[in-house]
Amino acid sequence: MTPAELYDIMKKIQEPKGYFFNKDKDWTLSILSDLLVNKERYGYMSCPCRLASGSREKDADILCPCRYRTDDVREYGSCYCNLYVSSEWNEGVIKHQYVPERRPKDKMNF
Amino acid sequence: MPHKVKMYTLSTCSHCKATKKFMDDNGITFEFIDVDLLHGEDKQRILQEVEQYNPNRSFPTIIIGKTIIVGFREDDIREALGI
Repeated sequence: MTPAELYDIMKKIQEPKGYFFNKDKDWTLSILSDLLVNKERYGYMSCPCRLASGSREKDADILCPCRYRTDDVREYGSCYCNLYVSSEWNEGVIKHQYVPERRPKDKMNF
Repeated sequence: MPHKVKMYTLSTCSHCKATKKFMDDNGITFEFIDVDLLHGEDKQRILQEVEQYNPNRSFPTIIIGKTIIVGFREDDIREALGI
């Protein structure tokens, strides 16, 4: 699968839920490309902005789209990676700020 | 004297790539370690290093002189570099 194919598939699934890809398409395709790197490396598409443990069970919360996306998009208009964003974020209606890591520390100890 | 810049990064992380590009674009010399490309004892040793600077072990963790910055926070990075 190519990043562009993944883009088309995920866009159809995620946009109706209110999650849009970052309109900076180079940024978005780069992240989708890294998701495919992780799929090749670990066997699943874990968040490329986080260090995967290599165990699908331990990384269940960071399979893209991650469990933290809902709260991050609600609070900041964007997920941790700036991959999935709200329409307001894309339109520049809300300020673009760095999204801090919401994943609990104990999940990153392995 | 320019600050020593060291970064702990992931090869796949968008914010890490953006940070590396920022440093390159601004002519800043930096060292980095892509932690996701390490294995076994090397990985554990480096993760312990990261934890000393950033208990959350998130990326990028950037050390500029004595300043520790977690994430590609451009304003903080500029301030620490004095640019």
